Amino acid sequence: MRDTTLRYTDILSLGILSLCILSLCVLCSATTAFAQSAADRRAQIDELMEKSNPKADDWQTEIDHSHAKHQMKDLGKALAKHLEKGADLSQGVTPFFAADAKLHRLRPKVLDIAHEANPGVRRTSVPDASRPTQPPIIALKELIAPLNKPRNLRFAFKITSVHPGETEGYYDTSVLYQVYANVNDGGSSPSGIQQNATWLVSWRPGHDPDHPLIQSIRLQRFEEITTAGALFTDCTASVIPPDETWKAQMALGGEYWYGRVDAVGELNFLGHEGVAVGDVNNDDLDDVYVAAGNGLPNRLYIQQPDGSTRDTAYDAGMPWLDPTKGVLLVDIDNDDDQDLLLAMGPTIVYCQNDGKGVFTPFRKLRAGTDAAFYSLSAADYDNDGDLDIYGCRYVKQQYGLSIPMPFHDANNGPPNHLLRNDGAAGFKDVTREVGLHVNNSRFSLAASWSDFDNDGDLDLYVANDFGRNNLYRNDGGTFVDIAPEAGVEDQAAGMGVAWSDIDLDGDLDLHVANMFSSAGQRIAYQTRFKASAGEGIRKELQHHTLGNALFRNNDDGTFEDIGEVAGIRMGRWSWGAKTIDINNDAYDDIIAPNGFLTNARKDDL
Amino acid sequence: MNTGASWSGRERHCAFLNLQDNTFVDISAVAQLDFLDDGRALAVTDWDGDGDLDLWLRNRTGPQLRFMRNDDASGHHWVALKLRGKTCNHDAIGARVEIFAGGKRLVRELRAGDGYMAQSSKWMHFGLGTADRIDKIVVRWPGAETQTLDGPEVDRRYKLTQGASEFATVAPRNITIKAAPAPDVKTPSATRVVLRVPLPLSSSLLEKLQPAAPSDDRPRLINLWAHWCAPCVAELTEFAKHAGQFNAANLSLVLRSVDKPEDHTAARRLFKSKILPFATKDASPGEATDFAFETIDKATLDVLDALIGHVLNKPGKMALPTSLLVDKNGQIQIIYLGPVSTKQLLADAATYGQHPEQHHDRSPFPGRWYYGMKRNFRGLAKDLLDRGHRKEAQHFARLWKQRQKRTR
Repeated sequence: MRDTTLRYTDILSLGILSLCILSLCVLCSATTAFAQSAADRRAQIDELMEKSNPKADDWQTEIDHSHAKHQMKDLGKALAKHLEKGADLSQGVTPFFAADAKLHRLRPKVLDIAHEANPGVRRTSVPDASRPTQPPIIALKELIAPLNKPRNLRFAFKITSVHPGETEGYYDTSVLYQVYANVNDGGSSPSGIQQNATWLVSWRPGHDPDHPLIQSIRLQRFEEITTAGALFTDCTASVIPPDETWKAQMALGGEYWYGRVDAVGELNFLGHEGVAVGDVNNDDLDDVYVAAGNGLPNRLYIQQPDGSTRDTAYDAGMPWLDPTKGVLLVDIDNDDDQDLLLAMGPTIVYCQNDGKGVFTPFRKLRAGTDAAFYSLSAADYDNDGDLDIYGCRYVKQQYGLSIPMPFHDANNGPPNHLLRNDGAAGFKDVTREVGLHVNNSRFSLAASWSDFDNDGDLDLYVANDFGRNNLYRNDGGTFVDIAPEAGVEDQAAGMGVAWSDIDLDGDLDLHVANMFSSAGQRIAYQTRFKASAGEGIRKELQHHTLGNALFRNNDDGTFEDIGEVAGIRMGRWSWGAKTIDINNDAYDDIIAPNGFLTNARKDDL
Repeated sequence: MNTGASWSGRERHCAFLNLQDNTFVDISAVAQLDFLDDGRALAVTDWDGDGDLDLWLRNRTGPQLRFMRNDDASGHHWVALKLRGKTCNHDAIGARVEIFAGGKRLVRELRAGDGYMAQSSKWMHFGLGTADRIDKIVVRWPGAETQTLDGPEVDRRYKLTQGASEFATVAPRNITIKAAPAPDVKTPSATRVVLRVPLPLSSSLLEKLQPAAPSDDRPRLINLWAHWCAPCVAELTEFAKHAGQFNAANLSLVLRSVDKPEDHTAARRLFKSKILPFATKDASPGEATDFAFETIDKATLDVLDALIGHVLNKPGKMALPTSLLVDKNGQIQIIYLGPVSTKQLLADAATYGQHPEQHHDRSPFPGRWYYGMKRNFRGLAKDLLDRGHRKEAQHFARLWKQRQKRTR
């Protein structure tokens, strides 16, 4: 990474950003030219923000952050050592605190019961506004009291903001605290406990500059969740027998396959391969089709009566080796079986089902540019009785042309397309005809249809990376992008869309998966950051790192983002976040699978 | 990526429980969903039909797929519906179903494709909380009529065909899917990379990488080794023990030590004492073999590194030992990172490069390629030029120009 030439504070600044990206591109041009997708660039930016040496610049708060981070981590280790190995608590934690340090009660005596059982949830209702009075040892002892005799103990801390104090060396940090452990009180089922908290930690200089001391901890929020018995259990090996094929392909991931397959025509293994559930052989049991990366065959796992599966990709006629992204199982020709749509490069391959789960490629659907299709979403937008297809496109694939500009509001991406199903006549690209060509040059990763205004036709939300999203209202077959008026532009790193009535008020609300970057938040909220660019751009850049959004439908054509109060922002890089009622209580919960690129080197912890 | 670093990697999946008051609580860890996988798509289905929603998680990292069984023991009631359209699209995608139960109105739409690159089950699943009866169900078929039906019994699965006056019950399933996490798999130590498109080498490079007994029309195996590399020596010894077979199979060996000049004496000594005797023994009396000690110059090694880096899109990937199977037309067919068995080699030499238009089955796995692909000769030429290999760069630039001319 050639970040030494960059001024740390300028990394997000637009001009320098483009320079930095271009220079990276030129410097590693030949070997990586066609690997430099926009996703790579986003990763570079994140990496630059996270890894640049703050000392190379006078970005004092980031130095403070790095010290505070290490101190918190080591405090966690001291707590773990006490809980797991019986080490003396006082001796372990005292070095982290100023002699006169005072803390709030870190585990308040009075907590609201927010959810009765499995999981049981108890939490604070308001931040503690009192003056902290507890000695550290007492507050910590109370905090970890329920973690008695823990197994799988895990402390985690994340610092989301740094506020310099009046005097040098004194500063405050917002810290997300989380601990998890299995505790078994002799019962038969394993029980788990998880504590989440937000702490406002004040620091003062220590004996040496790298080890500041905690002066006080104020409690902003505390939640304690307990389970008796598992909520979810990994049964992968029961459903897909881990035979040689599994071990050779699916058990290994992109971190293995990257650099082990001829890369001709395809990028790195960035993991953009989809999954579709559907009953492909009409036996009333769901099956699963799994797209795979370059040189690895797609798989079709057919469910057997006992819940296990049989991989029929080879029998079913589609062991495609081409890198495949979005996949859908839908009845395109209304003959009552599930046909298969595959996003393979710039083509959507439509395979017909013979009714027994054997597929034959039938049509190649292409539209517009040579850019690859990502997520696919099907719906009958014109209510004519058959399913139409919307395909998202993310990057133009000409080498080096996929640089999102400007980073926070990129408008130079490839167009998405709506393909109208005209039955026997095939598909027609109607993007322009229906008005979906408006605001259609973003970096789109996902889209989902919903009749959010309950007028009988399906509207479309598109999540775009590097900028604004679209909400295309369907007005009887033509579309208008009403994202700004509706308040759902959500200018950020959009990755996933999920519609759901989360508050049971009868209309559909909207969850948008984004990127939560604590580094970005720390930097982007400093007044110095982009001071020259003006408040507008600063706000937009700040929003980019905020995390997931939850838009509550006001049932009047507008939405309100309640992500912050709802407490769902911190979903990291959320990708396929989805609403799902995990405990059948009628209220949809949220699961956010995430993480971008994990590789062999372990310096990203 | 090319440096092998991680970006926002090892991040744990998140799960948030809806507390029914527009707030949520993070239950990632207690829900056992906080995997460190690089997560992407998530598809939801009541796979085992037991009345709660299970998960298929599609990851970038291994395991690429996880099945998570939902162990909900809340005792809450539920109902699941599978719709079939007649006049509307037969999947009934876009249908809006409202269930009135326990004083609540539950609204769901059926869709194909949401989250990120995912499609969930077409069974519409409704958690009903403590409500043990359904007052009514209103189905608005996409672009068609709205139907109101009496609520069927809870905790069951039903099918409904557009226009039908009642639900059809689906028999309950009584199966148990056992807990069995995706097992950890040891990363294979060697990789055999079959090139999807063979890579033609320049005559000058082929000249430099001649076997001991030069011959133009034989496939050859270029093997890079070092005297300090135990797997290399073991592999070479294996080759030597089968020297006669290589001859019989008409496969030339081009053995090149990558040892530093100051180590050449030691490497030569090891080769002569530990490897060569096996070759002499295995060959028929008087038969010449390709077993000879030869070194590779720095420039040639750098060219090979550039070629391998280009094919794998990962520079600096060359391992020791590394072998290249070059067919009789001078094209790289297979790159072996790490040791390869003689048996595999001889089988590959007999297969790859024997038929000029071999397109399918060029991958670690059997399968079919949908697209034909062209190699980026221009990018390769540029890389070689940047590395100072003008002659090699010209070779690929020429290939690129030839192709341009052909397409025009």
